[in-house]
Amino acid sequence: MIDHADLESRLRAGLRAAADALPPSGPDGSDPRSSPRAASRTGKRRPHRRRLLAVAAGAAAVALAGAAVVTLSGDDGDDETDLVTEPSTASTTETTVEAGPGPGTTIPAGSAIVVASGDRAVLKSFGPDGQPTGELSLDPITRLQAVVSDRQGGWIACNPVVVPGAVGTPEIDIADFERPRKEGEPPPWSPPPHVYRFRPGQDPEPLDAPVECMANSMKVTDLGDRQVLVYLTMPGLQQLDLTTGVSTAVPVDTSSAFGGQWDVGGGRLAMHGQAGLQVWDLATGEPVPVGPADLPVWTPDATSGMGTSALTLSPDGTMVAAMVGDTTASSDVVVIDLASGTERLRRNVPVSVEGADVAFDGTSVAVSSFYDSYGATRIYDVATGAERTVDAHGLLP
Amino acid sequence: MPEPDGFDTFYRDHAEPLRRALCLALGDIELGTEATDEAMARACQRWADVASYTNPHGWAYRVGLNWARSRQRRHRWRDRRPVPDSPAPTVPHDHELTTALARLSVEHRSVVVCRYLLDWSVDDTAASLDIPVGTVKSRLARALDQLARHLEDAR
Repeated sequence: MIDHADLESRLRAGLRAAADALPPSGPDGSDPRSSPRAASRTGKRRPHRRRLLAVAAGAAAVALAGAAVVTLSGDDGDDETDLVTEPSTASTTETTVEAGPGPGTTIPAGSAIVVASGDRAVLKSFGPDGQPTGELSLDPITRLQAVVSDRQGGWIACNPVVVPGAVGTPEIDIADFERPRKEGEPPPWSPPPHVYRFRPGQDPEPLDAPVECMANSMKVTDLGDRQVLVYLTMPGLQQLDLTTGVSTAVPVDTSSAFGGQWDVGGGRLAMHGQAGLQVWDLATGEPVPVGPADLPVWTPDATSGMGTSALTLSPDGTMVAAMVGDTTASSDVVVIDLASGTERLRRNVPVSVEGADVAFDGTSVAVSSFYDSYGATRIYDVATGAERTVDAHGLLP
Repeated sequence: MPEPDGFDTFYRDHAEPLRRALCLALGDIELGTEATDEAMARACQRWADVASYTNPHGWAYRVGLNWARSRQRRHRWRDRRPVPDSPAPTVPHDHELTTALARLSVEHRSVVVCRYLLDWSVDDTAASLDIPVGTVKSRLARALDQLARHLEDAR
């Protein structure tokens, strides 16, 4: 067996050699306009500056991967029991879909929705029988990261912020940008709109919300008679009143929302992490008593073992659904009553927590995965445990 | 400790070593470079706080590592296929070690990089990665065991 002391010496030498062998920056031979870093090699800009510019402009440039997304309906067509969670009274068979933004664009509740990402973001609807029923374009969203129902019949979706100077964006004079500015003097560049609201009969409306746009970075809940968009930003969660357009901080410490599990529903905020499952009233910031929920936590040093993902509150905020599992190809979907901690449902599903997502309307819970290999989305009736499937899969907003 | 207004100095002194460390820990030059940009951007954004930390470059290393890991997970979703931890960049003179390092998890490789490339103490590594000292020691021990085993197998 190799001696550890010898191995340590070899590691020091080997790692230094590897570090020295690394190219200085950027992919060699690439089109200098193909990436910010590559462009920086022209000598006009250093790599970090583009990113720093975005920060300086108040942008949160998080270039995360696009994702396909699917939400699924319940099979009864009632507004509160549809996983799409739109408060519409439309029946499951009454689907009006038009491609592209603008007047007349609606996908009523009772439809299952798939959102595809890529050059064109699209909501795709599926009926309770699993058959596709239509689609809705989310133009001008082109690199979709997150989409949520606004609970008023529309949708809110976001792009990541475009870093200035990247292909398709205005060139920035670095010296001018970094020059100290007089009070009230506007910056030479500000990030373009990257969060849009799509309402039936209206053109897409940019929202003034500095969302750190990534998967699961936006959620909507009712707060009294209003709807608020709760979104991830630095340094935590903010809530935007969709009626007044006023944005305020969530009245609890939400700094752990980055990288953690969180969701909103019924005017409540749930977070799950090292402190376990915690729930607060969004209006007051007061903690909501929670029973002893059996949701395992991955410790910071864990590389294996059981953990919880895809935390999803019911629309009334009284129950929570989540995936519990390790890194194997199966896991449990659980539904827990928050007040008592009682499990309402636990079903083993042949889906890994990696890439899995959950939608929950309070009466049925849907489990899906982005991976093709896990097949169709599975929907379980919480009361009976009955399973049905829809031949679509992806992430569930 | 850097001066409160010394982000430029911090960047000049630490950005490139940080980038090299992240590239090796992540086994991905492009991702390591992106992660460095991200970490430095966040450091700049909250420099008043970061500058007061005992080990700002340790903080930046952790931020970059966490950001990259999060991005890797999402790339897996996007690409619709499992993406194994990428192999470490080529080491010109020690191919066996390169191969052995590539077989470590990112969690283990990041600790190895902290200790043997950045020369951080166990305590500094623990503080930088925000994990217990005992975890650093156990990860190092397991990493060395695995490396030794891989190197033995390669003989």
